[in-house]
Formats: sequence, structure tokens, C-alpha cells
Amino acid sequence: MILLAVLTFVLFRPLLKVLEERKKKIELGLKVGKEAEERLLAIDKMKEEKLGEAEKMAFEIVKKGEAEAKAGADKIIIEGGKKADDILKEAGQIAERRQEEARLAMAKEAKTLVRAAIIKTVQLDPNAVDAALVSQAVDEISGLSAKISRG
Amino acid sequence: MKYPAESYAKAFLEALEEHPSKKDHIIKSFLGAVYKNGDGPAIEKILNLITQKITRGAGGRVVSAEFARPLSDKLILEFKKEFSVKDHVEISLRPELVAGVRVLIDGEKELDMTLAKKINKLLQ
Repeated sequence: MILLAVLTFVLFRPLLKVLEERKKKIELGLKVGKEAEERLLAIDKMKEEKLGEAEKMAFEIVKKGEAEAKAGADKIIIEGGKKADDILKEAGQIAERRQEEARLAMAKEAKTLVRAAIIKTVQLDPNAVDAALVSQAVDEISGLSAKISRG
Repeated sequence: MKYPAESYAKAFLEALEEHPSKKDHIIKSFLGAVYKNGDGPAIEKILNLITQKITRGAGGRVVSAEFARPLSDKLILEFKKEFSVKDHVEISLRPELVAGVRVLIDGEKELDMTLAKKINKLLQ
């Protein structure tokens, strides 16, 4: 009995204390491990959420980029079409202008030729033409003088 | 011009009217004054104006006739007989008229019987 009491006091109690402490440590370790696991799970979840958001954002950016690119392309096509129309219009105007210039130049040349031909013909017998024209002038002056004297 | 042609013509005619016996002196002094005033380059314009005033004063007309080339005496006679002795007829040559005559009566009435005008009208 005494031995048991001694053993209890000397051996069992410290042993129990040590075991109790060990148990506490193990429990604490388990608790910390569980918390860490939960934390890791939360981090993983958060990571997945963030990745999802990033993916969504990237998708939105790509979508927006595609829309802008399409709008830009449409604008370029419209502007290109307009420019082509303008070029064609301008080319038409230039052609018309050149045609008109050519026509005017031809008309001018024709007039010069006709004038030269008439003058050349007159120079063959200038006195006859002079006589005819001066007689016409004299007739006109006579008419004018008669009109004045009547008035 | 220092003075307008009209003023010169008026001054000359008034001087001539006041002193008809001093005609030569007036002409000499007048020409001297025109050149002294630096208006020599306009003497033709002044003399034309004086001629016009004298002609009109006598009841005549100032006639300017431009021909393309010298006319025969017959044609000149035919032309001049249309005007009285009171009229002042000036004849000048302008080859660019090609043929015919351009007549300007009193600087107002124009009679263009030139071939140049007829050609221009034809080719317009």
C-alpha cells in the first residue's frame, strides 16, 4: 500500500502529467493542422474564384477587343469605300476636264485656221473686199445723215 | 498731267477768240506752256480736243475713219463725199482690221464695217 502510494506519488502522477501534456500537444497539433488545412482550402477556393474572375475579365477584354476591332474594320471598309468613290469621282472630273480642254483647244485651232483662210483669201484681192465693205459703210453713213437731217 | 486736256483746250480757244489777230503768238505761247508744264506727252490728246471743239463749234462732226490699208483715190472720194466741209475727217491705217473701214462719228456713233469684226462675229 505504501509502495503504491509512493509509486503513485513519484511515478504515476508525473507520468500522467507527461501523458496529459503530450495529449494536449497532439490535440493542439491536430487543431493547428486542421486550421491550416481549412486555411489552405480557403486559399485554394479564393484562388479558384480569383482565377475565374480573371478568366471572366480576360474574356470580357477579348470580347471588347474583338468588338472594337470589328468596328474599326467596318470603319476602315466604309472609309476605304468612300475614298475609292472619291478617287473615281475625281478621276471622272479630271477626264471630263481634259476632254473639255481638248475640245476648246480644237475649237480654238479651228477658229485660227478659218480666220487664216479668210485672211488669205482676202489678200488675194483685198481691194475688192475693201470696196465692198467701204460701199456698205458709205450706204450706212448716207442713211444716218438722212435720218439726222430729217430729225 | 498737270492740267486736264479740257482746260488746255478751253484756255487756247478763249485766247484765240479774244485776240484773233495774235493767232501765231497764241499758238507758240500755248505750245510753250504745255511743254513747260510737263504735259508734252499729252499734246496729241489736247490737239484732238481743240479740233473737236472747233469742228463742233462750226456745226460739223468729228469723224475718225480707220482703214486696213491705203484706199484708192476713187474709194476715198466716195467715202469723203458723205461728209460736209464742216466735218473734220481723220483717216488712219490699222492693218489688223484685215479689210473694210471702222468709222467713229463724234466719238459716239460707231460703224464697224471691217472684216476683222465680221470674222470675230462668225467665229464666236
